[in-house]
Formats: sequence, structure tokens, C-alpha cells
Amino acid sequence: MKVGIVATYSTKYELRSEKEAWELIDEVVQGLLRSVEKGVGKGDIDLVITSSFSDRFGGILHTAPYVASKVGASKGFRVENACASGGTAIYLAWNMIRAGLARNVLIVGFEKMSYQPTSAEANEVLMAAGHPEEVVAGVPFVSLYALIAKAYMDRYGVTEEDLALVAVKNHENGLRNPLAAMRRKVTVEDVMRSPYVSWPLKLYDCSLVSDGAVALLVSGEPKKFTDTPVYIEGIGLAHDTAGIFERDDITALKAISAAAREAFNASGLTVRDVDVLEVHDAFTVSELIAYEMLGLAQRGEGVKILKEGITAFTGSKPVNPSGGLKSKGHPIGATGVGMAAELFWQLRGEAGERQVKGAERGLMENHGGTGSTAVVAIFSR
Amino acid sequence: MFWKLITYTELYTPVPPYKSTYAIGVAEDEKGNRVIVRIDRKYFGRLRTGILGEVSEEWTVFGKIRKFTPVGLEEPVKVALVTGGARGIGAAIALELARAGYSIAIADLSYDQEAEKTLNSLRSTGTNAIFVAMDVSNRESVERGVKEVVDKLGRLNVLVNNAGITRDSYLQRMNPEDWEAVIKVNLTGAFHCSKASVPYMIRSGGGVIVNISSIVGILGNIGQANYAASKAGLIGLTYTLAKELAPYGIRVVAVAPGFVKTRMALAVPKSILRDYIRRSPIARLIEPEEVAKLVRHIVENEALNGIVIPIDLGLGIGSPKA
Repeated sequence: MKVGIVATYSTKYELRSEKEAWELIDEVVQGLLRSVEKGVGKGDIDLVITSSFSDRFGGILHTAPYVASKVGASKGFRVENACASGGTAIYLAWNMIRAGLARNVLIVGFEKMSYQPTSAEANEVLMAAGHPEEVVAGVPFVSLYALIAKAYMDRYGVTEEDLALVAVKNHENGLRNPLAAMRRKVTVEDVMRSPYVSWPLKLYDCSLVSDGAVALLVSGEPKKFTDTPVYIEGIGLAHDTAGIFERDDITALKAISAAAREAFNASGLTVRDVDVLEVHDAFTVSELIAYEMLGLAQRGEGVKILKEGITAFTGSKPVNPSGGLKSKGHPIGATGVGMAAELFWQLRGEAGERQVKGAERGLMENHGGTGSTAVVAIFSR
Repeated sequence: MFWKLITYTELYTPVPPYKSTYAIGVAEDEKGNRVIVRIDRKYFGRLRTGILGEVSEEWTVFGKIRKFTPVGLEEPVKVALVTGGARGIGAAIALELARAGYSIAIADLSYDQEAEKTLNSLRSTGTNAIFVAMDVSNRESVERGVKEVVDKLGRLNVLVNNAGITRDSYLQRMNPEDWEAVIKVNLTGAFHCSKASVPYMIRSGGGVIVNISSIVGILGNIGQANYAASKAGLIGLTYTLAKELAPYGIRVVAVAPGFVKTRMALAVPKSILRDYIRRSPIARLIEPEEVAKLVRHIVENEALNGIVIPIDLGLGIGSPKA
């Protein structure tokens, strides 16, 4: 059975939205229903999956019945897998449809991170997604990634300027995306001048604390809703250890390669077959490691392919044409859903100024925590 | 048994509820066991991959954590910057901190005989001392000067905002230029110096800012609207920065001296000084060295933060302490 995405709708991601979390949800549910080309009938949507990280980012829980009642669905639940919550929702939808447990699943991912008054307090909320020993030791995510970055720089001779190139690329891409929270060109010098948050990572190495919501309609009968669905060819989900200190190789994010293997096996495709990628650049270093885990680059050569322009907008494997988490934003529960939305538009040729020419297959990589959970999916038109 | 640090990061942005900066690392023992460790911020700038240390358990209200203490790291000499340090109270503070083992930078408008004399007496204690030309009322000048201190002495741990001027007259005769000049040096100067110094202090694992206010900032004084307002402003600055900067390990304290025997005080007409002494329970002027000893105590006593300490021979007894 072919499972496809048949419609999507996203709010603009913002650093501080005027809307409450439920208003963001309302906007994307209404927006999605309007955008289904052949319309949605009463009772068509039989399952709702909401994706959000914390009620401390929006003040609401138990959102599935709230959404279900708006679309006439009678079943649903919320998933939380840290920053991979959105990817996890898609993974569940795909598997439940294929198992015959649902036909048409409405996914709503959202987060209103500005519900916390400061980014320091937002980071306190995020910190709970670490290993308990990391939480007790007071290690925020930026520090966990800084530990990974330092080990990666030590081993492969990567510099802070090299990491900055990821931010430069993704901010340049974000300029073309009207949904991006921070549409601002940055230079290597801008990144290098930005203050250290957790050395060696600086402010501009980090993705954006932001607000946003995305809705996605995933169907086991896609042609019922549109003539041009985007098919989910395969999807994988995998865990790594919860704590980075438990890993033999701190510079690897092994859950990404495990999830990718599962997605490649299910689809019969490899990374060579994809034309466009959205990967989880929560921090600059994570995009480089993701290249290597997905097989785009050899270990330690993430920077090489970045410098060669392979992952640039005009390269042979454009990564994060949306601007990524770095420029588009990272409203946690919405992020993975938003990646799928971007690939839906890209593969249907609807991405406007940021359209990757002739894109037929796309890959999303969405990970949570320090890569303790990863979801990789492959889409085709 | 020693543990090896296999990766580390210095966290400069405090996250609640811990509200503190520190380093974090992953340490490995000989058997290859790995643990996440916290490392005191006093080691900022000195950690390296592969260094050895001891791992101990520490109880905190959040739970038990492991601490990594490096072995064999050399203690760096701490550095103090004293604005207006060429003469008067500033020179006395510089000398007292030099005796406490600090490398010293004295900052003043220009290098003159008094600056040379102060530098010589600082160097006679065996300390490393430099002069930095700085106009505290000018942001660029301050940024340049503070950078010069760090470039030449390696770090910055203590800032004493001491530079100050007077332009006394009664309100009805005080022209706006005299008001502004005093505010610009005494209050805005402390703002510029603090702002320029704090990033270096954070990266040194903390520090101390001592603002030299005045008892007239608490009590007010006839003929000193500008000076008293600037010194009262320093008290507000002290309270605010003490709250803002505590998580970074930076303490901020003000001292409020009465009349100190310096050229600035002795320029006051004798009749006014005599009247002042008549009102003071201890009938004399304060020695600059007495203020300097208090500043040294503030620098050394890590429990002092966000307070204004009058050193006034009892002049302000019964008055609110700001």
C-alpha cells in the first residue's frame, strides 16, 4: 500500500508569535482543510496525532481531542520524542495506516516556545530531554552539542570557522523562505563575532527558539484527496543511548544511520537517489555529522562536501533549502512535521523562490535529544 | 586513580535552575568507563582534551553530581583594573591589591609623574603593573583600554570603578555642562567599564566589580547635586549588576566613603571640611589606605554581593544605607 502526504499547511515560524498555542493549532487545521484539493468529507479523517514537546511551551496538553473535534475524528493521541516528536508522529501514521489501524491521519505539530519568558528558561525546559545524569549535572543542550563539537573538532581537525559555514549556508537559504523566522544573511565573520554560549559553540551556531505549527494529512488512499500526492517511500526510527557519555564514539549520531538504514530498506532507495534533503541542524555541528551518518560524506568529511558546494542550494544534494532549524526556526513539536511539509512543496514544485529544480525524491532527517532518537524518511512525487 | 578528560565545554550562559556558569566534560577512567562531570569555572581557559583529574561525588539539591578536578594545573595570577588608579584612593587600592598578589592595571586620562610614581611603588611589591590610558567617559577608549589590559596581563578578574571628578556648586549656579561632565565620568564611566570588562570576566570564570560610591550618594550634600546624583546612581548600578551578573560568578559591591584625605577632598574649602568633621562621630578624615583595605576585603570575601558598605567614621549613623 502506498502511503502519501496529500496536504499540508504551516504557520510562519516566529521568534515570538502573538498567537496562543491553540490559535496556532486552529490556524493550521483550518489552513490544511482548505488546502485539500479534492476536499475532506465528514469522517474521512479517522486519526489525529499531535506532536509537542512540553506544556511549558504553550500551556496546553491533551491536544488530540481538541484537534479531533475540529475535524470529526474519534481517535487520537499526542507523541513526544523530544525534537524528533514530529518525525515520530509521521512514523506512527505511516505504520498505523500500513497496519490497517487508520486510513487518513491528521498530524499537527506545534510549539510556542516564547511561552517561557527568556531563552534561558526555554533551555531549562529543553534540558529535561537529556539523560537524567546530564540533567542533574546541569548540562543544557547547547553544552551537550558543544561536547560533541569539541570531540569532533579534536578528531577531524574541524575549526569553528568550518562550523560557521553551515550557518552561512542555511541563513542564505532562509532568505528565500517566507516562512522562516530569521531571514537574515550572516557571514562567517558574523558567526565568529557572536558570543560563545557554550564554548566552542556560539550564538549563531544554535537554532532558533521559536513558535510555529504545521499540519500534515497522511493518507492510505492519497488519490482520493489529490492527484499529486507525495509518497512516503520508507521511514525509520531508531534510538541511541540517552546520554552522550554512554557512547563509544561521541562524534557519531548512530541513531541517524540506523533510522536511515530502516528507511532505505523499506524504500529500496539510498541517499544517492534523493534530490533534496531537510536535516536537523539544531546546531551547526549536527548538520555536518548528519551528512556523514546519512552516507552523503565519509566520516570527518562533512565540511569537505559543504565547502565543495554539494549541499548548497545549487549543489547536487541541496540540504535545508528551507533555511533549516538555523534560519527557518525550531518550534520543537512542529519541526519534523515542517520538514515533511517542505519536502511536500519541493517535490510538487511548489516551493517558489527556493524550489530545487527537478526534485523528484527527498529525504528528511529529524532527531531528538543528542540524537538519542532519530527519524529518517524518504519521499517521492 | 585519575580520570582523563576526553571532551569538554565551557558554559557561559547560565541556565535555570542551576543559575551558574561552569565547565562540563566527559571523563574516562582506565577501564574505559565514562561519566559526565561538572568542572569549576575557575578552570575556564585552562582545560585541554586529555588532561587528568580526580572525580568526586558532590551532593546538590538537584541530586548527586560528579565533579572533575584537574591535577597539576598552574594557578594563574589574577588581574585587577583600577580606574583613576594613578592617584588618591585608586592608587591606594592598586597597591593593596598588588600586595594581595594581583597583577595591576591602573587606568587614567594620561601618563604623568603621579602615574609613574604609583607604577613604581606597585612594581616594588614585585607585581606586574601597567598603565593604560583611558577616558572612562568614552566607550571606544574604554573598550580599547580593557582589551589592552587583557592582552598584556592575560585576563581580568577585578574591576574597581574608582575614576571620579567633582564640579561643585549650588543648583542655581550649576551649569548643565558641569552636571553632565560629572555624570559622564562618575556614572557612565562605570557603566562603560563594567560593560567592557564583563565578557572577559565571564571567560575568566567570574570576577568582582567594586564601585567607589560616596556617603554623599546616600546622604546628599549641599553643593554637590551632580556628584551626589552620580554616586547614588552607582548604588543603583551596583544593585542591578549584582543581580544580573551573579550567575556568571561576578560579584558587584559598592563602597561609600566619607571624606578621604585626597587632593579631591582637600580642594574643598577648609571651613566646609571643619564643619564636616564637627558632624562626624570620629573627628578626622579617612585615609585612602583604609578604603583600600575594605576593597581588598570585598574582593576576597566571596559572600559579599549587592551591598553598599559605608566607610564614613560613623557620619551616617541612623541614616538609611541606601
